[in-house]
Amino acid sequence: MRQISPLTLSWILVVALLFPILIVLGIYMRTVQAEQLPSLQSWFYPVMTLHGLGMVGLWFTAPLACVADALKRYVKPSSTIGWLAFGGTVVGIVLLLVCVLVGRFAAGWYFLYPLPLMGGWPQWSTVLFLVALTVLGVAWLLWSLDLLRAIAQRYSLTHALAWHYLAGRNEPEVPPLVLISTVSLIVCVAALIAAVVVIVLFFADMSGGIKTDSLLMKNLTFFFGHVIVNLSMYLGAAVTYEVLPEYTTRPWRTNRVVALSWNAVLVIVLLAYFHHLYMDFAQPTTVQYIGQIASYASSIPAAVVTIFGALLLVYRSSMRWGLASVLFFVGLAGWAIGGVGAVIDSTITVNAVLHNTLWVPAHFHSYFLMGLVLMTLAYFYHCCQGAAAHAERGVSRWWIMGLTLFGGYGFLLMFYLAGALSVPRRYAIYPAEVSYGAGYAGAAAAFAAMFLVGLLWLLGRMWKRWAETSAAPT
Amino acid sequence: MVARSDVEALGGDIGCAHVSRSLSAASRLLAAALLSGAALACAASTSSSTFREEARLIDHRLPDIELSLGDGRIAHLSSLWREQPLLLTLFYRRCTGTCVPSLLVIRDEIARTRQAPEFRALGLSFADSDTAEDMRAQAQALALEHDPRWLFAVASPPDVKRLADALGFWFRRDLTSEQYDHPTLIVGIVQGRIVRALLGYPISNEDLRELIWELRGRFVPYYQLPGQLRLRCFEYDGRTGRVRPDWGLLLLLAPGTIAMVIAGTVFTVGARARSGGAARRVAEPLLRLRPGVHKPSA
Amino acid sequence: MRIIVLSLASLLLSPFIAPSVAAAQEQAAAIFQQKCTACHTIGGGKRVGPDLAGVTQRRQTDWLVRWITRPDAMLAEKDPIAVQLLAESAQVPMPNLGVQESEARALIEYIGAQSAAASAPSTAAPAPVVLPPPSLGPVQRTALILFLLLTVLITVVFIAVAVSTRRPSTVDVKKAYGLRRVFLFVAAGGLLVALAGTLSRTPYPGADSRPDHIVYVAARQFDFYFSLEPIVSVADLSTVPLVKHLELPVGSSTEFRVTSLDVNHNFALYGPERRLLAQTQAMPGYVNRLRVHLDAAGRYQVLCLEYCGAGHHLMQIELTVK
Repeated sequence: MRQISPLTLSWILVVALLFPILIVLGIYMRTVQAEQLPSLQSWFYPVMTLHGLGMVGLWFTAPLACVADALKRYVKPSSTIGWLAFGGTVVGIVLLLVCVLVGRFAAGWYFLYPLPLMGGWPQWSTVLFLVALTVLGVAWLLWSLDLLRAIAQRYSLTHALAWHYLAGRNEPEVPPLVLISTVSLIVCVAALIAAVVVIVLFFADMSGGIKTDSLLMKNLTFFFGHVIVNLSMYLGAAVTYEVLPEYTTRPWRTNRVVALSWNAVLVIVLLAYFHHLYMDFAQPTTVQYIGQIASYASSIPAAVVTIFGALLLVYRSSMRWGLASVLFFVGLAGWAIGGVGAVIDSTITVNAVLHNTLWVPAHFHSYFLMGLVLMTLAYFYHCCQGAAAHAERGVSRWWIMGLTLFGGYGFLLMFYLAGALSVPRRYAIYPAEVSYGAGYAGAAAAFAAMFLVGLLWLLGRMWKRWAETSAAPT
Repeated sequence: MVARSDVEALGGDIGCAHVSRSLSAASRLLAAALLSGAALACAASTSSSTFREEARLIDHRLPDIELSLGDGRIAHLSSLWREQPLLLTLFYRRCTGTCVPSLLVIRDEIARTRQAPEFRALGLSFADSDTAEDMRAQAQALALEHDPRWLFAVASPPDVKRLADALGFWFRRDLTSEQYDHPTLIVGIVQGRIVRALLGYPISNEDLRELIWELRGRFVPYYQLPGQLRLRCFEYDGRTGRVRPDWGLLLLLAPGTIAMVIAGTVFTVGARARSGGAARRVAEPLLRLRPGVHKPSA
Repeated sequence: MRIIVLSLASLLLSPFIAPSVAAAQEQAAAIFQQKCTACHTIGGGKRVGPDLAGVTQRRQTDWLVRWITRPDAMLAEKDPIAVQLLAESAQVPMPNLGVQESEARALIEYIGAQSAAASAPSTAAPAPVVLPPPSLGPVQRTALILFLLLTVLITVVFIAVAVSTRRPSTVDVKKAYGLRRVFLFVAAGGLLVALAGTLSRTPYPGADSRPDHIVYVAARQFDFYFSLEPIVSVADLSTVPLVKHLELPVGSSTEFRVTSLDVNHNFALYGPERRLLAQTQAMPGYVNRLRVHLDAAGRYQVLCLEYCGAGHHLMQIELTVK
């Protein structure tokens, strides 16, 4: 097994540094909501913004870094662009930190127009925020285009999208990693372009006083947000397709069904975003229906092809269970569970009573925290242990998984219960009407702390494993 | 009861937003895809005080009165509005002022409505001196005698007064000229309740079109903000029934489309970069583990 | 409650005030209503901004006039009181609302008069009441139970698959694909049934019926306003009659026509059992019509469910169904 590349190692360090901090910010949020930090309450909304931006950004770049690393098995991405993207991301992170911590920018991670212009924070922080997004957008766009270029140098578009499998031909063989990456990168470009349009329209308002239609802005913003979050999930699935087989010693190949499923995803993911606008009644009813149909449809490829395929891969295999493989496996379960919560909420008549309650963070934390995060950490761990000569030792892996699972799912359960009980999301303090929300928040903070301990332990083990394997001769 | 003072209007239009009901079943889907565009050009076409007067009438219930129609029939107002939505305007036969021009405007606008109108128009005279015969003559004068969508009627003076009071409509006889001073009022009535009112002359065709749409059940849920770039996705021309995509739709479709174009470009350039453009057989993956090789440890 | 006190107080006081003074007070009241109530009360407790009861005693009039007319300049000049107020108000600065000096003086007089009438704000914050959770609404209950059942199913399947690796063997792929086909049909079938069952029951207002009542709602940072006439702009807040205590008859259908005067908000109606019944977004430039059947009598609360800034969690209004 090759050594881990310096670029991938740098990304691991960024995750190791930022993820615990962002979790602490999350714990702070739930603690404030539990009415335990009244003196720090005024920071809630800026911290909420930072936590959201940080997590979405981090868990887009980290799986993309994994995919870029894994793709090196087949294609040659440019390391210059890779480092440029890394640098751009770091610069963007610094700018965001400044605009939130110094400027108290607090528009929430999806910066819904026109709130960034009317929130009471200084205008410079809004400008800096938009500049930060621009920097990140440029860096990520270049990165995505370079990865597409690398794939294109070896595969034609129809091959990369595995259309020949649809026609019944298995040659040339296209690994699922390449197929899923191609799909994800194409929609990534679409999402980033939507963000560009939004940023331009924001600048038009700030400099020219030209207001844009608020419904159009919301459509564009949620197109960007929905697609980028979903494709992050798919990138996690891509590396799972690539690496999990190594632990089961069974191959996971592209076939007609896999090709059909991921090509369907390419279309469906662009249409499902309407489910974020169900409560904007001014939206034409036809697209509301399209949103529900597409959202329901998006669960079929995930469940029937990817998750079933993974279970089939593992079932009665000579599976080598170690931290990496367990994390992949459990991550898939988390994705499935989060998907269930999402599909339920994407029903219009249910959304009418769950929209913007805590059910919403419940479902996206599910497939992110207990899905994508675990898959990405699994890949990182897999890389870190490289060509390790000895198997994992010690009972710490049970502790790590136990803390992670118990803490993680306990944290999520608090969200689901509170959401079902109509507790609103994004409230710094719960008013009398929903004051029972504070209890759930407190319990959630405790569970999250447990997860954090498990995470730090895992990161410690990862570092140790890397140190062992990089010292040992390969 | 709703806490309100006696005069009470229950809501009205918000600038260019219009209230109406969406259509049934199959046409609902079509209508649902459209943001009706009849309100587009309306950037505060009425002054705010007129608008307030119009708004105050919304949702008022009208009294039922007995009508003598121009064709000789007797009918109750409620029987008319129960069958179909009703566009009502008040006038009188010997008017030398705005009555006839108003009726002409209404007539022409209704005629331009291409699809089945699904409502009727009623011209009601408020002058004591007008008779059913006068109404028939009026219909003839406007070439509407045989148009089933148009009715002209008179009513007894107390009934007229009752209705006028409910509509906030005033009329004063000028004894020297034998003419009446009165405003121009058009109301849309659905099941006995006013859904929209237009006050004042000259009548804006946009507003009238919207009132007609009101009667037919379209809802235009937006209004213009100052300095707003109008970038909605769809505009619906109420008169022609055609959907017109607006710039907003282009902006919304652009990201996906451009992404596909970019992907196509990248792969086309990549195809040229591959040797001779010939599809190279995918050889062993560059660094892939061959099946059967175990990963040393987990 | 405090609004009732204020309204009663002003009703009681008005016959005693000379007509010209009454007119000036009315104008000042209108400006206060339009520009100040989003963040301040007089004797009603702190909102985003401080309670203004007694402020005319605490601060010099000249300072107040400068503060009301150009708060942004005073903050930029780092006026010490201004900076302190900013810190106390969760860093939400008082915006410059274009109040003229004469208007500011009228406002100060008005606030002084209202302060005299209002009950003194209690110095001790009332002990927070933590209400027990409400019972689950039918839709929420179904959603939660379905979610938990499927989660348990997923967990069981994953555990079973994991345990199966203790006895490795080859798998009959054809059989597996057959099982997958079954899974596909069951999943797709279930989703289709759900689609058919739920798409017909959307909250979007239908054509067939008209509501019994229409209420206009305008949302802005950080308050809701009810009216029986449309509120299109902030200026309307001082001209349109606002309904402070909305009462609706039980069993009626009401259509709330919701708009926003600034950023996106959300009109979320909680019933007497404190469950979320229905909601719609409040969008600037749009009217969203939310039709509800108010079947239970009692006190209904409206919360804002779309994050709208520092006072987001403070936005509330009540209505009563009798």
